[in-house]
Amino acid sequence: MRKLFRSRRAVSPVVSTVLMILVVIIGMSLLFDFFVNYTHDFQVGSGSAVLESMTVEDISFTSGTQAKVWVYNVGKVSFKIASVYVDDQPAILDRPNFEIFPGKHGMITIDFAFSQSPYRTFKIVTARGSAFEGRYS
Amino acid sequence: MTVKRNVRKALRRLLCSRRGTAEIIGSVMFLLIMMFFFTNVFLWHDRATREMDSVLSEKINSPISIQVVSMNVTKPDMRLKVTNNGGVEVVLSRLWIITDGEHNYADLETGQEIRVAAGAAEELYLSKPTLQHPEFSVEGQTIYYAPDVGVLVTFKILTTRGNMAACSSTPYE
Repeated sequence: MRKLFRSRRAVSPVVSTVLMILVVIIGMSLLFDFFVNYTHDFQVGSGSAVLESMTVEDISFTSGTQAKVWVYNVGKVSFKIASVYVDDQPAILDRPNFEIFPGKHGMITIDFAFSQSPYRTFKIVTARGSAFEGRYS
Repeated sequence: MTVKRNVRKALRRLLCSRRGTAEIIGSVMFLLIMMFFFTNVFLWHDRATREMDSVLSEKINSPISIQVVSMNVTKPDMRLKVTNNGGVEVVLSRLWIITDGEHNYADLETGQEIRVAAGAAEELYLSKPTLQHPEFSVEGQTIYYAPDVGVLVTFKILTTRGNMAACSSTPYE
């Protein structure tokens, strides 16, 4: 028994094996964590852009520089309105990143120097990058 | 004969040799793990795309139209007819009433569902507002709104699938 404990012949292979297993477990855990987060971020973030859909139900021009845009979420996920472009020029939003849930209506007010043209092209861009465009009078 | 023997020898050596087996098992396991993750993402994306395809096809297959049946303010007989021209049932969401630059809406979804079956039509009635029923409130298929005589009114209907239709009319006495 004393001989067994005094012998150091197999200590090095055992330590090295344990160390190797530890390194592999830690490495695989980090990799697994990265993949799980990456997949989750993709599904919640840009991946869900395919589930977004909206209808611009009404646009009313309250003055020459302001308009109320009513949007209806007909998609499967909520979305945030990140920016609005009028005739390819960015407009100022009163509530940036305003969130609209599925089946709900939402209104945003935009500030923009509207042209005298009877029709204007509105492009609404969500935080996930989906763009919805239409011409309104 | 010699060639056959040499091939057999080489094959036996190849099968008996265990050199490189760990690398092959490791690579296969790595590929399996990678496939497990990417298959999940692919299947989720595929399901999401199919889901949105069905939403889009339902929207395409449920176009609606709206027309004014009568706009007699004094009688009073003010009716709108919403027709579902598609093959899928629709639920009415909002009726926008635009007159003289003012945009107002009546919420048709609050506490009820006005359904229009495929190919069918439903009538919406306009009635003068009362104390109990303020302007633009809804009860059943009646919308409480009193238009001004001789002023053009535009009605825009929105369904829960996101389809819209509009019509205009001038109320008369």
